[in-house]
Amino acid sequence: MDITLSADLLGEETEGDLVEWLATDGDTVTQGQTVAQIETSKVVVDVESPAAGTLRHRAEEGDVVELGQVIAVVEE
Amino acid sequence: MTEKTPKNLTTWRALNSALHDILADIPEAFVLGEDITTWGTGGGIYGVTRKLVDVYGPGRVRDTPISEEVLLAAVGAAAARGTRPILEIMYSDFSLLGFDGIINQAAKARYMFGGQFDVPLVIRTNGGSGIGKAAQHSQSLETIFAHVPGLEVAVPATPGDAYGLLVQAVRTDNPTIFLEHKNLYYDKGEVDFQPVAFGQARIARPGTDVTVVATQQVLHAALAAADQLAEEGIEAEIIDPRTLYPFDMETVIGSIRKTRHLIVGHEAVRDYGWGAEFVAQVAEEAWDLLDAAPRRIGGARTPIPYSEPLERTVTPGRDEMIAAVRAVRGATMAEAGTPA
Repeated sequence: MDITLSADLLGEETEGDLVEWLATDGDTVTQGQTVAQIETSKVVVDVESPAAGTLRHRAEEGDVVELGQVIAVVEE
Repeated sequence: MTEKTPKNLTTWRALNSALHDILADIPEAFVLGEDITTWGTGGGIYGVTRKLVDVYGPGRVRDTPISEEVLLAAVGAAAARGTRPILEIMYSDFSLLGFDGIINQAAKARYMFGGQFDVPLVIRTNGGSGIGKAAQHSQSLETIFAHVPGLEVAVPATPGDAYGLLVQAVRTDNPTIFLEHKNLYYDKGEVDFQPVAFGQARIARPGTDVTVVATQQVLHAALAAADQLAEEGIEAEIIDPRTLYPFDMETVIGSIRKTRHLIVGHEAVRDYGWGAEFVAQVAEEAWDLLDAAPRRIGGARTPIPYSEPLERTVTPGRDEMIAAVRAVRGATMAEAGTPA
């Protein structure tokens, strides 16, 4: 399952900094686990895994990630 | 300045990059304003000054008390003493608290003191409507500033121009009112990290049938209108003046020579707005080039409502632009016996 940056996460903004992965590439994650933090100009938001499985990063720490972008995939 | 690869950035990030580069390159430059290190994730209400303090320290990136009158007086004096202040006023509406500092002091100091010093001051602020900020946080005051001798006025519409005009503003020795648009901060576009000279318009869309001069949000409305008009066989040439003073009349007149029709659009109130001055200048300098009377579209003569649907109603958008173009072209087509 894709982890896509949605407007629910970013609010009125269109992008943010991927400041930190809280689960590394290849980690086993659970549904609802916080896997990354995105920082916009206004807030830091937690990105949760939508499913249990193996996390595959599709972006790196320090990247500017955009609305609609898939930042990771969870292999169920 | 080091050469940098072009990047696709939001406007606020482009401005943030510009401030980083300015502070790195110009030792006399410093940034100040209300909440510029503390708001959100560390930088101003729209993020423009984000994390600058982490790199350049509180000596050059200063949070200030809420006192626009003091700030606007202080930065003019600081500029006259040889620094290059970049002051953020949270909303352009609040600059009205400090007009003496801007208009009576900064704008006139070089003249009144016999040229003993320059006033290389940049006042960054935002204007415009579109996100429901109501009457005291949504005005488009560019005409007022452009009217004052001694001030230069920049009105960037794209991330690339925001970067380029800001680095240029800090380099010039004149007080500059740098008017960002609050509904364009999250727009993305290419930033080539090059300065943009004042008084040089940009042709945002080439065309042959009508010249549309517009700024900021209305420029974007004009670009949207142009797609519809092209389907009707009208190719609009859209010009972004980028600075209102100095104003690049040459580019506009060159365009009118080709299109023979003119529309000006801005979000500032239409009555007595800069578009009126601009159209009057065109009439004086290039009357013979026009096949039809020029038209202005602008904000209604009303405070900006808080309600977003009402806000859209009182400011010009795509539909008003389409109607204006059809009216101006229609007049000529009717005269020529072609159906409009």
